[in-house]
Amino acid sequence: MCRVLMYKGDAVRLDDLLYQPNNSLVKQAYDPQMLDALSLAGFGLLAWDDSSHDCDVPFSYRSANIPIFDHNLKALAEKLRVTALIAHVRGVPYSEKVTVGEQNLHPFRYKGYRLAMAHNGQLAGFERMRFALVEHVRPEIARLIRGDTDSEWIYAVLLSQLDDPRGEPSPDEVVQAVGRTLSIIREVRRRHDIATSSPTNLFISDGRFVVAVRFAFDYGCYDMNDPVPYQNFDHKFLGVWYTIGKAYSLQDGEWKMIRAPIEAGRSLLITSEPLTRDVSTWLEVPEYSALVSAAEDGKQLLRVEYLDI
Amino acid sequence: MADDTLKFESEFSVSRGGFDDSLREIPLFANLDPRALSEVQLVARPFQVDAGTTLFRQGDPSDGLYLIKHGEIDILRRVPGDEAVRLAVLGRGAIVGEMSSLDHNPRSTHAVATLPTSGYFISYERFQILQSDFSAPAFAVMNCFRREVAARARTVIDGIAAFVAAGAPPAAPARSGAAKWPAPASPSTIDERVLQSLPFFRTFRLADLREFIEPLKRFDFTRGQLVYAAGEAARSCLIIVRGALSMNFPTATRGALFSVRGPGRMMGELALVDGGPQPLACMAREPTIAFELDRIQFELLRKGGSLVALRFFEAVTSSIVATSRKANAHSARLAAERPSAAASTSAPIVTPTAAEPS
Repeated sequence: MCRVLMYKGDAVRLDDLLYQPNNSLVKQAYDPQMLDALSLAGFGLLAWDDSSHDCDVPFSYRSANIPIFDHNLKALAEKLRVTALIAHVRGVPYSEKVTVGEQNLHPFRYKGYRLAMAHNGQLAGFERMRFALVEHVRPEIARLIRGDTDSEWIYAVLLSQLDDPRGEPSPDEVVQAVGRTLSIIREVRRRHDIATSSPTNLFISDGRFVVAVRFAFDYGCYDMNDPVPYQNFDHKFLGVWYTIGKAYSLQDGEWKMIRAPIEAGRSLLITSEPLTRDVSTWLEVPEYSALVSAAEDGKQLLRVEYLDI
Repeated sequence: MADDTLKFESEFSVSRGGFDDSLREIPLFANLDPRALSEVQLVARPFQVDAGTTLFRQGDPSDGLYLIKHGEIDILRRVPGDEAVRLAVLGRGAIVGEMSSLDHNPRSTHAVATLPTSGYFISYERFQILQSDFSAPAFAVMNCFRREVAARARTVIDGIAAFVAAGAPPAAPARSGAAKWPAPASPSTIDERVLQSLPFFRTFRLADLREFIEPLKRFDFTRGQLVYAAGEAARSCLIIVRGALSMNFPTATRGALFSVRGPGRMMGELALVDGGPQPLACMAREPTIAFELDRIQFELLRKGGSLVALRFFEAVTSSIVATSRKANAHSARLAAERPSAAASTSAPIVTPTAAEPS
């Protein structure tokens, strides 16, 4: 299972998001507070900077290394400021069947397409259903798939549900595409008799808006003929957390969003788990919901949409 | 204690009889019999603090709970943007800080005395002794705390439901979920190893588990099935074995989900604890297998006297505290999503009696 961070708001140093808080994303890779697994199969980020050249195109960094040992990433993070970000540390099952490599790192964003996505979760039985998803992926998008993860296939199906996958979709269009994508996957799972719990938390952005999805297929369903793997399993719904304010910074020795005066711009941070061990200024996205945020008059306007799928 | 100015009386400065009478002034204990009240006497100590004293801070581990006899306590909660929202002002007869003592999680609010305040303090350690005692008098005391937490959760949920209803058309009323329940089966049709893997049953010894599930009924709900209707009289609770049940606000539009519970969690227990109707509609969010425990069995266990009753009510307590915390988090989220309307929304959602003073 992975850990993800998504940000949209005032320019902030990358280092302040990735490294500095006491439960930063880089720390979550090897010492998560809300996950009983490590995320050591690589790191990736896409970041937008409104003041940069060709600002609609994010800069990208990917490495199959463990981020805490990645000196290049640290040096970049100390220098760069971003106005939007999706960053991801990849966790995988401890299995010889898993491919660890650059082609499987999140976030996904195909060249020429605006929308980027990272995934936190796992589709059970994906190897059985993968090729049934092909019919729901546009051929020109299917040709771009490089890796072998369920996550990249979700991304390909999602892009294919947009009227104009290369265009500038609105947040509403993205939420509708998410709904269609989840419905397709649910139907394909049904056809392949796959009915075990599969968390599907999605973090989606094009640098202008963010959509975070907290969802699971067949939540709470497990193989009752094989209870051994669940002996110490807590069956919790995989979380997505967020905090909102004027800017994310160190105040009085504590990393937090500072107050947002009515007239000020607002910043939004969405993560798999809070960036600080003190979670008191963080909120959880409700289960089976999408948190949608789009800028209007310099403010991040939030809403939650229930995904009745 | 979060502040050095907190003062305890090393010796009771009131007579034994005065202490009894004083405890009876706490509405929570008004109907306790003398044997149960003596359980409170064993663990409670008088305290007094000056105005401005912080009893505890959000994020602190629990050190105990307070029964307020005189004075006034502000209950504050941090929300995103580092704002502090006043959830409630609590006074005479109120209980402050019980939720963290019940579920062992950190404090979810600040508590600050705004006037000189006195009453009784039960330390976390003493409260755990009370909580792990399955004698009938100790159970009677714990039932008081459970009812209080359930009532507070209900008040917050009702406030949110009113807020949700104001912005969405109501659903068609449903009188009862039970009318459409499938035929029951025996719980013994589930492998005991499966049950022992669930959080609910992990503390049960195998013999206790068998004794507990013997009178229960197994139900297999289909996805989308109504399990309890909002407003329906409480007649049972469910223990989820596989799948998930959700609590939904009774509206006909989207955005109406309050909570989802998966394997090893309960549903319907809040109404049994506080005696009110089901606060929200309960649906099968996924294909779900659940065990039903009816009201008669619930009331028998509520009397205590056995290890099975203790284990069961540990789960009940955990569930109602989780519901209360969820309700308060839901209120905070609504306020954060609608900052311009925060003042008007937070008022009906979080009333003084609906606080989360823990």
